[in-house]
Amino acid sequence: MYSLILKDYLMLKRMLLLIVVIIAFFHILQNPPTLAISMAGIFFISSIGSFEDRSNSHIMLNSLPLNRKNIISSKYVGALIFGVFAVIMSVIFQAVFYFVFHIYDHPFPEVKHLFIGMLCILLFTSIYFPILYKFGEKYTRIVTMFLVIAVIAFGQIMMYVLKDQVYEIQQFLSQFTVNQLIFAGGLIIAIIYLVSWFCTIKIYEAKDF
Amino acid sequence: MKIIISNTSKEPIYEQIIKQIKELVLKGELQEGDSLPSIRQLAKDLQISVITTKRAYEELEKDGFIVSVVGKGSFIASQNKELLKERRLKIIEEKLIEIIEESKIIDLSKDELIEMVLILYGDDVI
Amino acid sequence: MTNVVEFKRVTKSFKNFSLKDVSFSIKKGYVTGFIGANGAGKSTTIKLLMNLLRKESGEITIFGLDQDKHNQAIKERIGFVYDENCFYETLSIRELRKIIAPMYQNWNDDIFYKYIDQFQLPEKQVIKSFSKGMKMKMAISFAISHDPEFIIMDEPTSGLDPVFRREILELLHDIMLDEQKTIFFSTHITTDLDRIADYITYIHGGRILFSKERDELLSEYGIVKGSTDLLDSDIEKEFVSIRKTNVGFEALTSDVKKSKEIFGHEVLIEKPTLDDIMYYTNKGELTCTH
Repeated sequence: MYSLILKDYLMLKRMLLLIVVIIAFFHILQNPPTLAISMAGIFFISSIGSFEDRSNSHIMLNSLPLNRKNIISSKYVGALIFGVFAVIMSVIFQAVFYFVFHIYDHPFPEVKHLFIGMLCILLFTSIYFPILYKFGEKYTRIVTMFLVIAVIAFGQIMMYVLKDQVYEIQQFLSQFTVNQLIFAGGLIIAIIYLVSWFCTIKIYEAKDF
Repeated sequence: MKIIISNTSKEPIYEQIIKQIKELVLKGELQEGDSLPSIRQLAKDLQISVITTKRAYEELEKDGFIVSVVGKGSFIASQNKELLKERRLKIIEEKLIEIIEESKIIDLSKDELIEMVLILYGDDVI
Repeated sequence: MTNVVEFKRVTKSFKNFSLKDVSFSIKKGYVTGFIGANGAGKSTTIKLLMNLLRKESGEITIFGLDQDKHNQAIKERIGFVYDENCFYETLSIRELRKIIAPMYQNWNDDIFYKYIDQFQLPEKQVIKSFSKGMKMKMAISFAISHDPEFIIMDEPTSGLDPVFRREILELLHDIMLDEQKTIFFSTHITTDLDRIADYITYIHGGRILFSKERDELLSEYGIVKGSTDLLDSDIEKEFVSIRKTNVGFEALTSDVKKSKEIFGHEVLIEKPTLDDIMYYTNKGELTCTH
């Protein structure tokens, strides 16, 4: 497991450098860290998947003394580790830019911004991996695009259907604090992440190479 | 130990090995107690399969030419030289009978046959 | 004699090809050559053996262990070499070693570098730039550096020059000095097997036609050559298949003794090659189905 995660980072070490630059760039523009973290996450996680698929490495990985379950788990654990890495980078850059260039009001980003960024990474991972391992790298982009359109369409439809209830929903939500809402969202995404993890293992275990 | 295998010969490879080891023993080039290469080493040296050399060694052991000691390898067994020679004589005798029969078919006389043997043997006629 | 691998009634089907009820075993301590025409099911069988394909029914045991329950423990003891390069093409040997070595408990750098040196492989160059022969040498170095008991090779010699094919065989002979080692070696260049294989497993149209000692096989089968006058429909049935021409016939028999009894000295009987056996068996199947 450890060696599998290490493998992904070894393979993408040049990519990691690029990601550090991206995070720095977002911070120069004084964006909140949420955007930097989630963009870096999407970039990194889709690279993990695509290089694996493109280099036809499933045959090699599955011939080594590795279980399919661990191959998938390493991706999910790797994504979590990356999230932590991106958060740390973000904190460092904001501090550097505050002290050196004086372009932020605070030396440290707000915890809730970091937390939301992390949640974005988890959400993207939970959607991306099952699709990647089910359909392969070639179709993942198309499927992901359809999924995004479907989600937006679903949102629009729901807005239309529920237009009379919008006010009530707002009322309902406003009785909670922002922190409570973020916490609830975090819980839901954590559950989605675990379900996705489990499903991807099942998909991968049934696969022929 | 010198063994030469022909890949084009009709004779199976394991028989070639048997024959050559027997010859080496008869000529005295291999003596009692001399160790033979292991089955796997010989297979590697001759670039043939393990089973082929294994079969040759098994046959040699059955004929009493070699003994195999587990974990130590194979050795030339003690040979009764007289007995070996007798066996070879028997083979020559059988072949001679065959020759005589063939000769009779084409009415070759005894003297003519002997003359042929003398010429082929390479010695001057007495 | 123990078996390293046992296939019991294994079935796997694809859209236009299937393996039906495949049963055979691989003997410990020997080299088994796996032959068959292109598309006969060699790669499919090897992929099933390596658990890369999911079987539909049947049972595969390796080292006496169930393939699915003990996947990881089994793979620790297997070295694999495939026809196509399956390693990350954008990495160098040095980087790949960093990835692969920690995955094996028994990894031995001394063995690895011994072969990298012997094969004169550049350590820092990316694999993409390697020739086919270099890629194969690299794959072999990776396959044997954890001192595996069982080595599986899928067409390791295809597309390689004769000099290099000999080098590989020399290496396999070295490995076989240890009687605990077993090699399973698929190829359609059957002459490679003349120098090393103890057993031959022949797959045809998704079915195992035989799995036998090579010497035994070559002494049971024979090529019979003679005049076509000798043939009639009953006699023709004795052969696996026949090739008739204006000047005579050539046929493969799976029972040399019987052919000798039938024809006596009227025909010429020769030792077959593995190619002969493959050719006539294939031909026999075709005439049966048409």
